[in-house]
Amino acid sequence: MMSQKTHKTLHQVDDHELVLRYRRNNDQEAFRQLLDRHQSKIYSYIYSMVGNSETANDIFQETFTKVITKMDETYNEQGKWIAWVMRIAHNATIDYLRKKKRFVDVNAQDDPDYDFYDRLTDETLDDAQEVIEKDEAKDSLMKHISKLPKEQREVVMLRHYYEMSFKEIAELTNVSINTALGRMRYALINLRKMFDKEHGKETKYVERR
Amino acid sequence: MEKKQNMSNVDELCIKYVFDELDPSEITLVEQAMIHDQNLLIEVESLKSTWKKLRKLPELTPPPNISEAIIDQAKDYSSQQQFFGSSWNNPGLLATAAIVLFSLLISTAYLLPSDVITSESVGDQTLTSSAGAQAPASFQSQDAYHELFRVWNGHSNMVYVGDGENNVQSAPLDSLRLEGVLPVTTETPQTILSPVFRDFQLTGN
Repeated sequence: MMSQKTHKTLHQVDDHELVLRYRRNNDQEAFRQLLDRHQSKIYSYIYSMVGNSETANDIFQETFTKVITKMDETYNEQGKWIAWVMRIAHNATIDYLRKKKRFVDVNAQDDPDYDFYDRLTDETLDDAQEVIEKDEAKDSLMKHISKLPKEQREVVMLRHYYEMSFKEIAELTNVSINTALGRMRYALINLRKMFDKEHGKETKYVERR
Repeated sequence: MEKKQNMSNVDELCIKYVFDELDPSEITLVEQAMIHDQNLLIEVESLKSTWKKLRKLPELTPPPNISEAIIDQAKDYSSQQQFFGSSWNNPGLLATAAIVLFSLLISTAYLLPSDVITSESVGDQTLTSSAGAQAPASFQSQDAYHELFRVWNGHSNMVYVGDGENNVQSAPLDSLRLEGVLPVTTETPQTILSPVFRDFQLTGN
């Protein structure tokens, strides 16, 4: 009964207060609540960027290791906690993709049939579960997302999962707001073309230029 | 060039319109432009419908064991921080620790024999001249030995017994063995307080 009451109370507490409780009172339930509240979005973002669960698990854990150990040093309580966490997740993901890029065919992106999942090295696909997940992903929206260039994909994902403003996305990805807006626009145009192709339609998108 | 710049501004406004990031005056401007430009209207509707499809993107959850591992990690880290962080910032605790440490040092100094005589520092000649060549009469028990006497061997197979008050007696080790008065064995582990001091463990009668 008591724990239910505490749980309900924590549900109602905002992120800022939860962070304070965790940092100042060592309140582990507050930390659990923060994790419960945001883990799906963070994990989905990472997964959508890397395209496999094993790597997503590693990056997700690495993100929270940094969150736990760096919170006292680098988190400013005036800022949004989740924006700070997302920056860590984003940087960890980009680091991984940069390292990965060294081991894949750099020309793959020029291929019109380029598939993000095909860029992954064989070792990541060895596991049967990964193959199943790959097949499932191909039947979903995620497949289309995975085909987008990384820069466009991250703008879409940050907006979708975090409802970040373009100003916030621009800051996080170190580009101008115009660039972030442009990336979103091209992402949506590309996705529209993919949807049309999937359904055997000719694209009805009207190019104004 | 001018035209391209204008187009770029329109693109920016379009995408902001789709994502509801315009102020009311800009919204009016875009909506008026769409009335006059059908292609603009089609583009905006196309962007909107594509984004609407993306809203169906699933949310994935990490495996429960990963989440639990993170929770455990947070607990461990907090415990460490509490010990190393807040503990050292607590003046009362620091004062207590200082007192305990000071007491420990004092008691250590007290426990050390005031005239620790080591086999290396004691010459046979000095000892034999200050004490007779008699073996100690008897020892009631090893406890008594520990409380009252120190026994060590010097050079030339001599055994010395001292009581901490500069009263030292000595006897040849072989004679003790032969007479069966004091069967002795060496006690190998040396104490921390007097690492060079070599003790004998007295056994038998």
